[in-house]
Amino acid sequence: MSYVENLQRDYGDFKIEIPSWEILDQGVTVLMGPSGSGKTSVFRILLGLEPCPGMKWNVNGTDLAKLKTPQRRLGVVFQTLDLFPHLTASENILFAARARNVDEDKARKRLKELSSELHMDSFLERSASVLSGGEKQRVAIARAIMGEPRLLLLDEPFSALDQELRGESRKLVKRVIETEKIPTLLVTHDPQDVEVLANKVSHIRNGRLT
Amino acid sequence: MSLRNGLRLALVLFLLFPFLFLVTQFGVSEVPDAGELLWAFKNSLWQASFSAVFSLMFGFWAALGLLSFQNSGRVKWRSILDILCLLPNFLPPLFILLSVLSVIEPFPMGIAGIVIVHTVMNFGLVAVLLAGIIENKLGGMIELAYVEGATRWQFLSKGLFPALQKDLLLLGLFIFVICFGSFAVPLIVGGGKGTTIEVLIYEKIRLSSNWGGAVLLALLQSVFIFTLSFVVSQGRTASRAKRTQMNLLKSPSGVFVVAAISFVYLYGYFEGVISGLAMTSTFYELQSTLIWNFVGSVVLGLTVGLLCYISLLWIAYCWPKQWFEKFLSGYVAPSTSLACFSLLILGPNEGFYPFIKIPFALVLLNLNALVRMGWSGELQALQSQMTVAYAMGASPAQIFKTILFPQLSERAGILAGIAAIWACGDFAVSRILAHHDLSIAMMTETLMSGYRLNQAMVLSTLIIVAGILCFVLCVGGSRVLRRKFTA
Repeated sequence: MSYVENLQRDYGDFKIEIPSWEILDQGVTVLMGPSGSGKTSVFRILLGLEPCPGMKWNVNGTDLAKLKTPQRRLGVVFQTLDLFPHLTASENILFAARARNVDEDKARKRLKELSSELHMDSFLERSASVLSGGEKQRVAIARAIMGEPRLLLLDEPFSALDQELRGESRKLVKRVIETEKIPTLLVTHDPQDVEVLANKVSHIRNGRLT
Repeated sequence: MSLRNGLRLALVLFLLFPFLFLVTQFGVSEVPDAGELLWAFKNSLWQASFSAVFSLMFGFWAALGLLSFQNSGRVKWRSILDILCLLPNFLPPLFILLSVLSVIEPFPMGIAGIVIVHTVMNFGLVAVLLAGIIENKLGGMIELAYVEGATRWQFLSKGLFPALQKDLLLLGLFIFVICFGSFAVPLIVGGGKGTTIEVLIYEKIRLSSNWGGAVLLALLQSVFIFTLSFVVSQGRTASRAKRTQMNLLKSPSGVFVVAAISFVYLYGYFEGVISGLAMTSTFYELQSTLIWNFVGSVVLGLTVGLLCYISLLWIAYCWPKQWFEKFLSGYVAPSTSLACFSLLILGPNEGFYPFIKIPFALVLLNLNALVRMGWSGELQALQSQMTVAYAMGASPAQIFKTILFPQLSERAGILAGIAAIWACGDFAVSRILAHHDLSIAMMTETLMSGYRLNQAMVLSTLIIVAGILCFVLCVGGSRVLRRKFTA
C-alpha cells in the first residue's frame, strides 16, 4: 500500500480535503467521481504539478510529496494523451526512456516487447500526428510505462476514444498492467472503467472521499 | 540559482535595462515644466484617441466587407483581403508615411496628419480582429436573427453593438496604446504643433540634454501605457473562427473601404516610385554610398533577425514560470528615445558600434511585440507537452532540444524575419544612434526630410529588396537549424 496523508488544497471557491487515502501497490486503484468533484486536481497534486504543503505520500518508505515531479518517477497518461506530434511513435516512447536515463540498448529491447504487447508494430515508425485515436492511446501508455515508473497515473485515458474502441482498449490496458505488474491509479467518471479495471474504488465528491 | 532562473533574470534585466540604467545614472532630478508636459500629454492623448476612433470606424466597416467572403469558394479572396488589411501594420512606418505624404497634398502636419497615418496603419488590423470576433462570438446569433427576419439595423443596434461593447472598447484601447507610444510617425508628421510625449522625450535629450526631465517623462508615459496594456490584457480571450452564414451583416461597401485605403497607400507608393524613376540619374554619384548602405541595411536586418531568433528561443527555454509569463504579458517596451539614448551614452558610438547598438535597441523595442504576435500563444499551446515531458523526468535541456526546438524553430524564424524587415525599414532608432546614414532607410528619410519624396520612394524599393532578403534568410536559416539539430 502507499499512503497519502493530508491532501488538502483551497482553491477559494473549492476545497480538496482528503485527510488519508490508501493506494494499492498492486493492481488498479480507481478514483471515481462526477465532473467538478476534484479528481483532476487530486491527480495533478499527486504528480506534483500543483503545490500541496503539508501532504505526505509514503511509498515503500519514501515520502514522494517531498520530491519534485521528475524525481517522483511516475508514469502518466493525460486525457489529451499529449503525444509529441513531430516525433514518430517509437521516438515518443524512447523519449521517456532517455528522460529517465534508461540504457539505450535496454530501451530498444523494451520497446520491442511493448510494441508486440500493445500491437504497435504496424505504426511504430509513423509520425504521431497521423496516428488514429486508438493508436495514439497505445503509444501514450507505452511511453508512460517505458520510463520504469513506480506508479502509473491515468487521467480518463479512454475518454477520447469512441464507444467501440473503448472496450477493446480497456482490455488491452488491463492486460498490460497485469503483465507489467505496475500499480496504477486511474481517474475516471465512467462506471465501465471501474467494472473492467478496478481492484479498489475510491469515490470523490466535492473534494472529499466518500 | 539554476541556469534557467539565471537566464530568466538576465532577460528581465535586459528588457528593463533602459529604465534601470537611466534611473541610476540621472535619477529624476528635475520636475519638467507642467505646462509643457500637459501640452505634450494632451497632444498624445488627442492623436491616440482620434486614431483609435477612426481606426475602429473604418475597421468595423471593413470587417463587414471581410465577412462577405465566408463561403468556401471565396476563402481565397478573404485571404487576399486579410493580407491587404494587415500589410500597413507589418510594413515599416516609412512606407506608409511616403505613400500618404505623396497622395495627400498639401499634407496636414500636426495631430491631423498623425491621425491619418495611424488610421491607415491600423484600420486593417482592427478589421481582421473584429471580423474574427464577430464570427466567433456572434455567428450563431447572426444566423438566428437572419432566419427570424431581423433587419440589419435592428441586429446592429440590439444585438451586435451591445454584445460587442466590451470587445470594441478593448480593441479601441489596444489601438490607443499602440498610437500613444508611437515615435516614428509623430516625429515626421507631427510638426511643431503635434509634439507628443514620445517626441518631447527625444527633444529633451537631443536639443536640451535634459536627461532628468526625459527620464521622468518616460517613466510617466510607461506607467500610463502599462496601466492601459494591463486592462487590455485582462480582457483578452481566445477566439476560434466559425464558418457561419453572414448574409445579415456582410457589406460589399466594406470591401470598398479596404480597397480604397489600400489604393491610397499602394497607388501613392507606386505612382511615386514611377515618377521618381525619371530621376534615377541623380543617384549615379551616390552609387558607392548606395551599395554600402544597402549592405548596412542587410547587416542590420540580419543582426536583428538573429538576435530576435535567439531571444525568442531563450524565452521558450525559460518557459513556463508563472512570474516570468506575467512579466512578459505585462511588460511594456520602453520609450524609443529613452532606449536609444541609454545605449547612446553607453560606450563609444563611432566605427562599427552603431551596428551593435542599433540591433540591440531594435530587439529591446520589438521583442515585446513579437511575443504578443503569437509567440506566447505558441508556447501555451505546447504547455501540455512540456508538462508530460517534465512529469516523465525529462530535464529542461531535453525538453527544449527534443520537444520545443523542433516545433518552434520555424515559427521563431518567421517572427525573426518580420523583425528583420522592420529593422531594414527603421530610420528613427538609427537616426539617434548613428551620426551619419548607414542604411537605405536612413538615406530615404534624409531625402524625405528634404522634400525629395519621389527620389525617397525609388530608394525605398531597395528597403523592400533588403527586407525580403533578410526575411528569406531568417526563415531558411531557422529551417536549416531545425533539421541540423533534430536529425
